[in-house]
Amino acid sequence: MPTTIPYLERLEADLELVAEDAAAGRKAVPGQGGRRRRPAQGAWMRWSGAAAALLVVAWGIGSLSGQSEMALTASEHEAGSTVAGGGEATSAPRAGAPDALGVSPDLADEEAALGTARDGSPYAADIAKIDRDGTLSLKLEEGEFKPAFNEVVLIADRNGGVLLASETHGPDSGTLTLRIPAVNFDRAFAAVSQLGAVRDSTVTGKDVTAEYLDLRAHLRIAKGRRDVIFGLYDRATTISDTLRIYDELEQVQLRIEQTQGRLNYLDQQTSISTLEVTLSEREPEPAAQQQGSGVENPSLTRAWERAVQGFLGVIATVIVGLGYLVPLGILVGIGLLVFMLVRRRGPAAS
Amino acid sequence: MPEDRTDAELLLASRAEPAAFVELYRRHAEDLLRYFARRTLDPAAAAELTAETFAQAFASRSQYRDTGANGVAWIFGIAKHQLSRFFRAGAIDASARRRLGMPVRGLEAEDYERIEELVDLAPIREALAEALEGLAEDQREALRLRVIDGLSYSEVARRLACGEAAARQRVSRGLRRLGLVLQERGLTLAAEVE
Repeated sequence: MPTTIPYLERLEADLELVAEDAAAGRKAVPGQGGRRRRPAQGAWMRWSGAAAALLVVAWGIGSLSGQSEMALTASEHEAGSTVAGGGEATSAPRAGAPDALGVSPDLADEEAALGTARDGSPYAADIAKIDRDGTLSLKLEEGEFKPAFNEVVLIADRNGGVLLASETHGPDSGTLTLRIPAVNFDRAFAAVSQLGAVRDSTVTGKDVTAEYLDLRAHLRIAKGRRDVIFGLYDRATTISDTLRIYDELEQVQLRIEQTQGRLNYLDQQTSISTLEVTLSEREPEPAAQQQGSGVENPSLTRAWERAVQGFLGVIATVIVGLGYLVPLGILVGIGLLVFMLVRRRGPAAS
Repeated sequence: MPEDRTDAELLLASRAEPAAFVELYRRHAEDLLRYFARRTLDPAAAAELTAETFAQAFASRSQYRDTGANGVAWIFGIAKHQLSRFFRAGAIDASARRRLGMPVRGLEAEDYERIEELVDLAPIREALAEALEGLAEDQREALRLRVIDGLSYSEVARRLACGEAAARQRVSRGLRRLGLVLQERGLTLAAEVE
């Protein structure tokens, strides 16, 4: 039935064109119009564009995040030292400052009862367990290297520590590794830093007090359990009971030994600190020359390595940016969903 | 040459022979336009819904299964879906036409006249008069002049002291609003076509 409405005639013409296209593209895309490919390609390009924009935004956010981190590190460095680690740390040497955060009588008693404290040591009652290490780089005046080297050894000795290792680079520079009781670490650090101009210094600290207290509690419980099992062991009447209790006892004993071992390790780590001292009468060589980087000595291998590093750096930056964007995207998506639901219900309700 | 295949046969044939779908369109385009016009009372909306329904049917014709029912029922199923979406969202989907590369065409003056002729207002005249009271003044007046007095758009524009396009827009918006009111009251201008 031919229509007499002009709009329907125009629509018929459009449909005829679509049908012709579909007939032409029937083999390639059965049941689909040939024109479909153009919009589909457009949609593909739109999605690609959106993905590229998302990646660029993520990269931008990641870069900003990285820059703020670098700025923070730089400001700390300008103060003369870098602080790292998960717990207590100092940004400058504190001569004679106490290492302890305080003493709890209950816990000191508990430690004494457990027998983990080393009686007679200056920090037998110290419950703050902080693993601290540091590095110190000093610039010396000409001819001062040898006296300064000897003085560092004396400082270690005066603070109850020892020279663990040393290494000299010619007659005017060298590195010393000291092991010093943690309680004297700050004093030794301050004394050594007086020997020359401080070029660079680092103090890292990791507070393991919580882990230490946990382990002590576990040890106490395990020992109590062992006592109970001992009691049962004495009262066992059958062979099967005896064997079962023996197995249990063995497991508890193993746990006690593991816990005690970890406690001993933490004790050792937190009671002795490592201080690495670098003494030099010379200015350090520029980093570019030391590392041989830059364009002075071009190398394809180095260029490839730098390219890979650069590539990985960009990927890492994008991942950091996505870390910010994904939760934001989820929130925006939820908001849009709610908005659409409200919008849909609006006309229906009205 | 008259086509003697049934609607279902045409739909099935259109998978391999897309031109068969055009024949189906010729048979039912006006019925479908009337279906939409009587429910929306908006010629522009009815025309767009018709175009989108046929585009949707063409794009998904490979999904049609001959279950023994008349093939046009399948197309009216798509039409019902389009209509409910229109009433729910207040907008007409154009995604199928975009996918097929079909242009979204507007109506010309003659189209308005012809589509309005398809709508028989007699069965709901009373409800319509009541619904008219709920319209904005300019829309109500435009509708009264156009639908009740049966004036041409140029005459309506002259009486309302506005351009012909503005007059057409007022009538169109008024009709759309009326369509929504009637839909809410469960009133339609004609029985379902299916």
